Amino acid sequence: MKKISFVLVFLLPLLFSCDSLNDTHFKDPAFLQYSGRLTPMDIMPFTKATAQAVSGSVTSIELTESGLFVIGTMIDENGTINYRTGRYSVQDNIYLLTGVGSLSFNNSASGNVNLIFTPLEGEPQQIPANFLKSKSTNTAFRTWKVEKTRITVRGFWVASADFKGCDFLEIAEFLRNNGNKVPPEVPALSVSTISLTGTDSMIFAYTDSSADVNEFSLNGNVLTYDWKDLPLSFTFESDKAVIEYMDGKCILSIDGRIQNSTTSGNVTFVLSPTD
Amino acid sequence: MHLRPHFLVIALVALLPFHAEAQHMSLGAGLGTDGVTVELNASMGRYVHLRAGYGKAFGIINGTISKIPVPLHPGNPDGGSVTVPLKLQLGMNEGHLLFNIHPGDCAFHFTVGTYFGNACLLSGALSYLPADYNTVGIDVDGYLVKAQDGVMKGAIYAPGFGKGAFAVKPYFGIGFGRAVREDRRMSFSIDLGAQYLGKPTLWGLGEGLTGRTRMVPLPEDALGDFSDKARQFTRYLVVWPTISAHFYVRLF
Repeated sequence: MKKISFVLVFLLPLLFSCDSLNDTHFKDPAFLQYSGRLTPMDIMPFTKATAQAVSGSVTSIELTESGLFVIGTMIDENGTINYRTGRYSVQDNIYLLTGVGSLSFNNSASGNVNLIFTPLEGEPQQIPANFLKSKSTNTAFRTWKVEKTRITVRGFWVASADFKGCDFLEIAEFLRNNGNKVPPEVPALSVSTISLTGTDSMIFAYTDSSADVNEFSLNGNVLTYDWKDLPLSFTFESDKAVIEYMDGKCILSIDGRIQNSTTSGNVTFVLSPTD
Repeated sequence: MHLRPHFLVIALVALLPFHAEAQHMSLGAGLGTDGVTVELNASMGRYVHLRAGYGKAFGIINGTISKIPVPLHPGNPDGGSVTVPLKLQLGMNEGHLLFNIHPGDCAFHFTVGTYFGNACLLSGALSYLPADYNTVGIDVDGYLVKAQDGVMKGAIYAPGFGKGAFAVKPYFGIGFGRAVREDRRMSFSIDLGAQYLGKPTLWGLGEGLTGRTRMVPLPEDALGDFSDKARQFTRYLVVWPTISAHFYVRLF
């Protein structure tokens, strides 16, 4: 009987295993204390920052928790805003924006600041600005790399499809081949990262350094957003998305409907932290 | 905490005979429509033998249907089609606990008991599927059942009185031979019977959002016309005829 007990004790560890499905342990993003949003209170021309093709008057500069910057510029009199993205680093409290120049301001708290902007090939300019410091209170507030996109289509038939990354042309071709109506003018872009910031900005950054920026709020795991534009021409049935964490990934799930089509669906992004 | 039924089955099968007040014990190996089996047997008096064992099919019994037509693009039936091979094989992987009841000192016996463990009865794989099948599939609770590198894996699960992927399949049969012989070191037995399969269902290998894979049950109409054919096939699978032969060596 002792032998049997010994065998049982030996087998017991094999009978049970622990799964870590809901892993939410992520290290803090690298630029947490530097992140926030600058809003110039005066005209801030960016015509000399040609490396990032930024031109026009700057409307905002988003500095994300993970070292991504997004510059919004008003490109016409109708108020159309163009967003460009890039990486930034911080040295001695001076923000170095790759391909654009440097920013210097008091980043200790939210409020009006004296922003000194030095373009790559230009003289320093002083511009009054407002700085909204990131509240940085949630694991989700960081830049996430798009690893996988799962699209569920509910039309003539119901099926799901997995795509590596999020390449609009690949997805559109697949949908067309399988009998779905897709607008002809799909842009040749991929979503490279999705950022959620502590200043309530949701940023879809694309492979050509362009971006879409919109506001969101997070209540528990439900994300409510105000979406104005998306190159794939999705209009969303609801303004809510759900965030979950699984196996060290962030799962962002959005219900959507393709414009001018009876097809509706669900888009789920599998995201991994960039830092 | 996640229970691993396979280990539980193996542990039970290995330990159960020790709890019986065994007079003699034997070790056996067998081959049959329940797979390749190993058994530990104990005589419980003159007329009853307890058989605890484990069997696995190892794909020994298999077959291939060479021309299964599938659409080139799964969502577009008018977009042309191709034919692909479907390989099927017995998928048993389960334990059993059976009682041989001898009506006298003869070799003839009735057998009652149960098979339990993995519910997979028949596993199959569609190969050389077009590229779209690596992308599209059927979402079951977050697991996408689709092909990987052109191969889509599925199975028919028969749970009997069990649930989901864990089967409890009652068995009744007759046989000739004794699992434990007091007068000889070696013995031989042939058995014929049937396992109750319950309602067999189609399962597929699904890939989770984060890359985990597991077998998941497919909704009844998920595969369109193929679902109808599968239903016609599985409705005859109420019982599984079990024919097996065993060779035993008495331990003490």
